[in-house]
Amino acid sequence: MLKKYSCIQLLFVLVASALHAQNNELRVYGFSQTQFDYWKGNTTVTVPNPQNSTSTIDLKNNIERNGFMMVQTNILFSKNLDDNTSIFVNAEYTRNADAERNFGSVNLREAWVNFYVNELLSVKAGTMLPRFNRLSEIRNRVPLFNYNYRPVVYEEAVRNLADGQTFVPDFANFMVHGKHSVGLSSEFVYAAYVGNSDLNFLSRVNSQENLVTSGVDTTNYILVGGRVGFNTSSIKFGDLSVGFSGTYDNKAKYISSSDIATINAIGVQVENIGAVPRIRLGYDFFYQLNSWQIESEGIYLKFNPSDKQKTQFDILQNVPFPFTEFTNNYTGSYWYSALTKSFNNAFLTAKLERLHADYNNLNSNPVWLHSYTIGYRFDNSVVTRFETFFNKGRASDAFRIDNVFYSFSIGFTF
Amino acid sequence: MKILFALSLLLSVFLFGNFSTAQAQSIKVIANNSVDISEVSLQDLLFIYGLKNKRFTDGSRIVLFQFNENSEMNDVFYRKLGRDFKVFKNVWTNLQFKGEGFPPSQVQNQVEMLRKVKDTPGAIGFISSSINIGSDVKVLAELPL
Repeated sequence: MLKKYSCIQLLFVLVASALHAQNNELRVYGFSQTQFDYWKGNTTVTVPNPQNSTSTIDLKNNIERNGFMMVQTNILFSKNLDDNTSIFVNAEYTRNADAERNFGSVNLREAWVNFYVNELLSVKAGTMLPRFNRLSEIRNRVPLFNYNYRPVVYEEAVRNLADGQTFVPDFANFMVHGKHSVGLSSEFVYAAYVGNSDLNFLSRVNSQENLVTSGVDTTNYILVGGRVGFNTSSIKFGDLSVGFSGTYDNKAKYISSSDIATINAIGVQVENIGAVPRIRLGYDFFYQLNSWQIESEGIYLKFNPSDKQKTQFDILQNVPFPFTEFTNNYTGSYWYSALTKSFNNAFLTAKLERLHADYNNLNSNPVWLHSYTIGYRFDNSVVTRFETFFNKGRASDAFRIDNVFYSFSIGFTF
Repeated sequence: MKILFALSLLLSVFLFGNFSTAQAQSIKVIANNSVDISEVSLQDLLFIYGLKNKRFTDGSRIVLFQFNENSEMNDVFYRKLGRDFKVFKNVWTNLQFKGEGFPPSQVQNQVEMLRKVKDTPGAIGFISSSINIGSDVKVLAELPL
């Protein structure tokens, strides 16, 4: 608690001193979004009947909730130290962040320094959002989007349900990037980076990760990744951006010591799976012409466990209380597209998404999501949006969902 | 000569301080004399003001200027580049939030634009053709209205 308090106090001091230093070109700016959500739906889970092992029963959970929420507020600091060196810090408050009452979270989400060598090569070091597809780097810049709910693998509100961390890398710590101009209107861009895998043992100690302590060697969990892309802007034909991304790392698959002991007690020998190699491949597409805009991303995910690890996966899903996260399907895929039509400051957006986390028993069937948004931008600094979001499907034979969300948001930049 | 230039500037402030498209035949794209290029195309300007080209070929930074938010001059200039002003603002905000660029600095009127471009190495701006720019800045392009 004290640590969180100190963190907030430090940020206020930073903001105050930064405001005094505006003349030295330290820029302080940011954005915020508050949202009202109404959620109505139900979840049905089919489980074995405890009184008759040959039959099943449906457990239905009806949900109706509503409430206001400060989705996100970020304060950004940026400064050019000289012609070739710049620094950037992103302090992030999410989900009604309130340190005193333990709501939400406060993060130092990005803090990096960038060295420009030439057009072909810049070097960025520190903590940064990795350049994976198009949205990864701007995933938390909520007022920029034409919808309230970001694509589910990026949306903080459902990241645990959609397993966003598995689909999209969270952090990079060292990146080289650059571009090569082609003629007057086009450029090839690239980025390559390294960082820690999603379970970041060095800086997080909680839940399953408490198997190790801070400072444990992370060699097995290093992430490498990158993106190559092509951008073109034409006065007549609009703006086009396409890119291909990829990462390689190991995902830590740990279960608690008590669970292992419980399984071993029933006579099944099991041990922890450990680091499972993972590959992510992605594409992104963006095109804007006059008042029309289309954006799209796709991600393919594949785990490559060793034969020994596959044996463990098999055991874990066949024990009397199967671990849904440990299946013998090792792939996942995600895709979304959004189409926006602008009418001066107003806009309409339709978004369609498909999530298939086949590595997880709960999502062995694809889930489709679609949403429709009407919004209005006041002078580019304030945006309001109303979104209706539908999520209906049969994630697996045992797990069915039928939800509708209505949300109204107001976001602003400063 | 300097007095004459100053007087013409004062007269410009009086007559054209607040730009009206009705008073101009074209928009001149102007640059600081240190800038090592002699002309730019509309396509170049689209890349430059879209912050895709942030440096000159020698690696030095391009410093961009535009008029304040409510100026009609901005709307006219950016429409010449095939986009609404708000489209450029979206691009700038996006890059600004990634820590990779900032919107062009704003000036209040034509005279301030001329002075800023004259005094800032690497500067590029735009100005009404009805303003007498003298030889303190170079003209990279003239965009008919």
